[in-house]
Amino acid sequence: MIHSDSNRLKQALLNILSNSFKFTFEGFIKITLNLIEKENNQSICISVEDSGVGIQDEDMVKAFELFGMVSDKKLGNLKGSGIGLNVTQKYIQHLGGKIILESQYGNGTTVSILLPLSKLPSEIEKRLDMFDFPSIEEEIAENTDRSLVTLFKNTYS
Amino acid sequence: MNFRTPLNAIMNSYRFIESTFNDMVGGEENMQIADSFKTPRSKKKFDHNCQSMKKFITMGSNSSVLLLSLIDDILDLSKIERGTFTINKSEFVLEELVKECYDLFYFQ
Repeated sequence: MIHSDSNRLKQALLNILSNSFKFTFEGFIKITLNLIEKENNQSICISVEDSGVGIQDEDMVKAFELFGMVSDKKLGNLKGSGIGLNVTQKYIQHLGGKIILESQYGNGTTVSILLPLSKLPSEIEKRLDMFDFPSIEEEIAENTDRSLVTLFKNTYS
Repeated sequence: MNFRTPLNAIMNSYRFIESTFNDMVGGEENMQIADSFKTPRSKKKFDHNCQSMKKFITMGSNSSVLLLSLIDDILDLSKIERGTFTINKSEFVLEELVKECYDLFYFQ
């Protein structure tokens, strides 16, 4: 259980995933969830790795621009709205997180979302105590055993 | 008219078709329909039709969810530019959300 904006996170993930599916013609698309602990702060890392066409270094900034479309000689002109990564970056920033784009041209792309786990507002915490649920912290601790959970690995040709 | 109104109608229609379809071809009734075919060939055709119908229903409902997300993106983008964007935090299970998203691309 985490406390965040589920709708916006879903929209962000769908944007990243649709990019991955669009530019991966063979190979895999892998989603990994990681819990990162640094001093007293916990953050969650959702990364989407694909074996697609990749992005050239000089196009990395352009990929985040509003209506910025990266063109590629091999693929020709690809159609799209050009808002996907831009709005995704804005969602993640509003949620206090970071988005990291790593790519090697021709060797796939990894997009990672780093999201700090916010502490519960005291009201919800009280409500949780009232119903005697395990607190969020406990559940996270339980899930830490699987610090590296590879959720899905899809191989297709 | 709200952007989402017609799309919500489409999504609810799909939900209805999906559950009706599952009622129709699942379980004992399906066996009865299948038994009523005289030749194995027509039974095979029935099974094949059921499978492709299921596939198209899933494709349609998945695509409508993706389109809704795209419309939400555009509406949120204009809210961000106007400065009226707010986030609504709630509790949810992250693994379920990720799986839900991933399943939407099943037929792509």
